[in-house]
Amino acid sequence: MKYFVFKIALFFFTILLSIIFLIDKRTSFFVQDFKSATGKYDIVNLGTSHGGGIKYDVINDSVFRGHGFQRAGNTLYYDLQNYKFLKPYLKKEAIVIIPLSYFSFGLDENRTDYRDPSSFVNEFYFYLPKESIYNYTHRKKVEAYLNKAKANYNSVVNERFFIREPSPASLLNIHEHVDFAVQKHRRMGDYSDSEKNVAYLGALLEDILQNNFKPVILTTPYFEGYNSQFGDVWLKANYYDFIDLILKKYDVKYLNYSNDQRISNNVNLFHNSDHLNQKGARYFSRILFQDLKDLGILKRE
Amino acid sequence: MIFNSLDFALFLPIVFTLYWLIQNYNLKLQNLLIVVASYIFYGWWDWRFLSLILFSTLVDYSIGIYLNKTSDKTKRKMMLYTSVLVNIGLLGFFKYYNFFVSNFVDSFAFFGAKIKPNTLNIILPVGISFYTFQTLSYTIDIYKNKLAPTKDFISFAAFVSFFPQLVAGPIERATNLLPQFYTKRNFDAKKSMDGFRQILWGLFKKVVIADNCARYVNLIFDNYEAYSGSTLFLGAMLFAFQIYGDFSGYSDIAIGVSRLFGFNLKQNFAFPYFSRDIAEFWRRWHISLSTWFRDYVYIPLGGSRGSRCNKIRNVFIIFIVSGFWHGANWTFIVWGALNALYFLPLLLLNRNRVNTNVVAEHSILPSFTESFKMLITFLLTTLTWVFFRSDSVASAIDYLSNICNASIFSKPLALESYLYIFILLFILIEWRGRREQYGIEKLWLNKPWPLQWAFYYMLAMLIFLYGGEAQEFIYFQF
Repeated sequence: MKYFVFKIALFFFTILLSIIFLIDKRTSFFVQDFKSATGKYDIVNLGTSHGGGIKYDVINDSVFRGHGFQRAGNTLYYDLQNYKFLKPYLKKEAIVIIPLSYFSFGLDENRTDYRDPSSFVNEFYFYLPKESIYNYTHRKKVEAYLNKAKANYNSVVNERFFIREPSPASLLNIHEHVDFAVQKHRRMGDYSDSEKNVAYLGALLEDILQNNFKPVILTTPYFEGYNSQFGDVWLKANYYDFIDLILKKYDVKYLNYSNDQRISNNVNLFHNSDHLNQKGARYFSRILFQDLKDLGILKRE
Repeated sequence: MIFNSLDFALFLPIVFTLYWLIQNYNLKLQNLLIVVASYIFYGWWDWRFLSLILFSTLVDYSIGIYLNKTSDKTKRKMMLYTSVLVNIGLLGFFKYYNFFVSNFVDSFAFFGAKIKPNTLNIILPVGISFYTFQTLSYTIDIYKNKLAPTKDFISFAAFVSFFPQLVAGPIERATNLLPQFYTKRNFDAKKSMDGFRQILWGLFKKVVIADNCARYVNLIFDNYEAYSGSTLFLGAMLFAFQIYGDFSGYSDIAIGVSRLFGFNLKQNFAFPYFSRDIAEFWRRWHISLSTWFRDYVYIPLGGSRGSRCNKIRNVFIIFIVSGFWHGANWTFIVWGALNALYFLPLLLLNRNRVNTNVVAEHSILPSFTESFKMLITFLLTTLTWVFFRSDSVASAIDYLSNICNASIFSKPLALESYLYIFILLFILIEWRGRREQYGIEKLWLNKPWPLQWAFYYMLAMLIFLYGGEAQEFIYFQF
């Protein structure tokens, strides 16, 4: 019996070693950003993938440090936790930009709508303390590591050796993408308990203000069709009314570029209906930083 | 608790270690451990339903003892009916109550009478169809004097609730499994190693084949109106692999785990897709259920003896009851009836036992005729699976009629290329092992150990890396 147990134990130990090797192989850019945060930042942004439209290299100043800590489909709960994680790395009076997306107030904390196995919450297990993770469990932590090993393997082997069909969304032109994105974004949240997200945003702003950092809420530019497809009524009920609540309560600037005519009707500036391309992002960032300067929020450069 | 979960990955080594640590002390203690472990295993889903297993165990244990005490035919019959009533009653209430009520209401509605349905929000206890059949066979066998009742309650409770096969079979007969609880089990490294191999192969079938097929099957069956005939055909084929991988994978894991604990369960799947006709298919598919129905329903009805009318009636009864056992839906009844239609010509022409040996028994490859027969049998089976998988008979007919149009020649939905590779690997290994109890039973056993272990390593890594989104075993719902 001992020999059998030894053989099986050795076998599983080999499997475990292989998994550990795969876990260490690669870390997502998002987690890497947080893990490699050093020194002090003058300006950071949180938020969803829409925050990727902010490019800090357009600020021509070598001493000025800015970085985007956005994450696709991020929730306001994890914006709050990410901010807490980043707090020690922020300079005095640093600017904290919080880009909001139309679905931001509808999401639940751990994005239970998210696809598995690259589950939404997994990545937070790699850098946030366990108190910051919503409904933390040891089991989920183990699963997060196992899923990471799988994801790393997939990125190395599957993408290299197997032909992968492009995602349906990537084949759509911008007008077709409007339908896809609006439907997807409406489905992402149930919008029945948006008050909790208002509370998370409130807590985030409160802490930023208490620590003498400068908060800025913004909506990044969207392609005009994306805005009109959502519709004014839906946006008022599920987005702008909540922003109004926040603005009444906190001394915070809100910059709305969602329908900015310098960008929104220019197809060449968009990657798809709700994300800017490189050119669009740089163009938008110049506008944004100029506005921040004009408002007296950005004092350097 | 499901076999392909982290919970089970922790549960199994703990129970295994405790089980063999106490082997020298007391057999009763070992059996008690099995009962406790089995109740934990089952209670992991919903502890409330443990009362049902306990109730079923107590009833059949008591009836078994009473049957042995009396020789009065009427009393014995009454006892048997009580057991049947309790077990089928439990099954009927939890599984079929709403089906009968809604069909009753629909029938009245057909004639213009409106009845307010009184359906209940009933949760189907996992595995109820399996353990009720297992306990029922115990009582029937005692009634028929084929088996002596046990006085050892712990052994009987362990027999009813034995966790490897509790929720999805194989449905074991008391004549095979119960005596194993009376005898001392000594650790047998060879048997355990064999069990380990079978678990590995079962997991590969379930996690790599079935769960990856399930992704596409769900997509195609849930949106069948939107897909071309070729994609629907592909979807039906993938479901054939999914259900086989899923269910036979579960059986392999159950048998393998049992072997780790020193028990021998009977083979439940004998490579059914290599069958040359439907009769052979049914001798190889879900053997424990088919033989249960054969012994307790078909033969008591007269089996294949008697008039032609009786033969036809018996075949339809057994296949329809078998279909209905799978679920309270007309789709399963149609599935059973279709299989009866396939089977009848073979029975009536006395050709139902032509293919009793293993296909291409003495050669590597099948002959052209054998290949053709296997292909036809597979396609006929796949056709019936469409009913099995569909939500309703109407959508199954729609699905099949959508296959039969010009779009059958169009390019089907693209699958991940690795899935084709795995299915091919799976078929090749199963073909090579078709004479054995399971696909890799003797694969590379005569090769040097590093090669063997490299193969096991590859299987384990494939299970880990290519495991599709974890799906419950299909047969849990039955």
